[in-house]
Amino acid sequence: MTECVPEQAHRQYRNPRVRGNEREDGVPGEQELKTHHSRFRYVLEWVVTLDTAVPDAVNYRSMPRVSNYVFFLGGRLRTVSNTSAHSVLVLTLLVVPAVLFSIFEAQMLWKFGSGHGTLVVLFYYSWAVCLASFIRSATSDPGVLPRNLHVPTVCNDFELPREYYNMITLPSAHPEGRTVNLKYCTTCRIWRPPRASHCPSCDACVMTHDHHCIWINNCVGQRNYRYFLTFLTSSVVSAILCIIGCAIHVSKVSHLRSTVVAILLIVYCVLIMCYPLILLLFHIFATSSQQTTHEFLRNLTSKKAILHSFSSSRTNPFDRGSRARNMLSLACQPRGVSVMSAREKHPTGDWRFLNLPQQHSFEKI
Amino acid sequence: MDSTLASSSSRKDLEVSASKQALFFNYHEFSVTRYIDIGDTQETEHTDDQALCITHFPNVYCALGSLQFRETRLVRIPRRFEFHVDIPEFSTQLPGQEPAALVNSATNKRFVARGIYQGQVYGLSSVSPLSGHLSDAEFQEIVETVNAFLRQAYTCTSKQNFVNAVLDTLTFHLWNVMAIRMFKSPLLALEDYVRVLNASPWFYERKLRLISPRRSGYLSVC
Repeated sequence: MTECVPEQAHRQYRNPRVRGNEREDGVPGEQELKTHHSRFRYVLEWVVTLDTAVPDAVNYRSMPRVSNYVFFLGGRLRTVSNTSAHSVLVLTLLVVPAVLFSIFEAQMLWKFGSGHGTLVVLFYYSWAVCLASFIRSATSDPGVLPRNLHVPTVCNDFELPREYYNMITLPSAHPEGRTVNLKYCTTCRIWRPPRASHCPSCDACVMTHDHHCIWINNCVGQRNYRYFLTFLTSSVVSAILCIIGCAIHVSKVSHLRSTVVAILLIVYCVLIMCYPLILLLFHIFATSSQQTTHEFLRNLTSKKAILHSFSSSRTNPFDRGSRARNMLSLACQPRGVSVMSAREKHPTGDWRFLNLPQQHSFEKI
Repeated sequence: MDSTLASSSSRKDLEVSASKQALFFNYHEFSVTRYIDIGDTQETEHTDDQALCITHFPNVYCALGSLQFRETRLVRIPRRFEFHVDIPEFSTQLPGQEPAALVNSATNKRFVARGIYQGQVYGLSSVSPLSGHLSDAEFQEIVETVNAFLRQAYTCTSKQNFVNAVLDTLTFHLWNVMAIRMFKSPLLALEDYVRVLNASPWFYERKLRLISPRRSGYLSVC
């Protein structure tokens, strides 16, 4: 058998930026691309980068082709395409009560004096933290892992050996000798580290993947988990402060007619805080039992066993032995640096931006 | 009598559990039985005990089909979890010396070519050609330095991590934007170390390169 010649056999997987062969293949070169794509289109693609954007040396222009991410403002913000824009609804639900509070309640409370001003300041502060956390968790990198790092061979359509379909069990640092399991992602072509998983909505592997949240339209993973928890906490706190402020207003006025907005805000905040509060309680119990949402759902044996599942599994190698330490290790996990930064540049022919053929094997073990 | 039986059975259980105990190996490796023997021209099927162990891989850090791609290969050093499960740490043992590596007593931990698979030369054991370029001590020193940077960056109980988390939350997540400009992350210091190491005569003359751990997602070093 002769040596594999991938550049001939797999021309269709070549990165469009490999200039050396572009002219040979009949694909326009960089100079020609500049004439074809006007500056206006470039600016437009800087504002919103879809998978139709011309791939460039900057990562955000090439990433939409290998994932479902859409970037805004030169890769500074991101969201996931082909999903319902629930995050816009959440943003509206956040902004509307703050606007109503500012117009009808803030001034009134401030005038009451004796500590009521502090309440107003605290509300605005917690609301600002909530908004900032929402934006950060919804639009930042959740910890996407690069693709095609562990390609074993380029021959036979980048075939995968049988061993790469196995679940690998390795020893861990746990004092009771618990093991960690590793799996090869056949889509991203990497040996996924423990706790990472492939998100079908984002079409990417995410480090310490918690879940894909439809309300922020982004994955919650190692790099934005703390933002997500802050978002939940601050939304509950700001709703409580709003309820207290409005309740004071209602209690100090004799005519209820002048407090219609205050009553409306109380009802709205009570209803709206239920979901983040339940979710926050869930995350407190899940993290204290050293589980991500993904692991919790995987370990859930039946719907009736929800409460039983809030205890750490006997095979969990990440268990620290105490609920507080477990919670701390997940809620405060270091973010590290982005390993697929949208704003960094990549050289020509970078494998991370190639779409290699999907493997079809019936030999899964 | 009973106690003796009990102790002997528990010893047996221990032995069984010891034999079932997971051992570390380089999970990037795989075996092939159909290959060309050295000095031969035809590809033939071999028995399982004569399977080639694939220990080096195509260089995915340069363009497919480029000259560098044809001239270079990757030896992947996997992550290990025996010391920390939630901190990326790499194996400090050269491929072929891990507890569950495929060994060949005849070759004495040296890379000995046995066959050709897809135009590349491989041996029967887990020992990679990297063993001919770096000694155990040199390799260990490099990987331990890399691991030290990673430990510094990914320890969640570090004071720096707590202070950053609190300040970041209190400042509407603006602290992080300033902090990355004010303080150097150990992960960026690691990138500097890799750059210096690759430019050093030690690596340059041996035609070795350490791939940036950040570029490889902290999943493997090569």
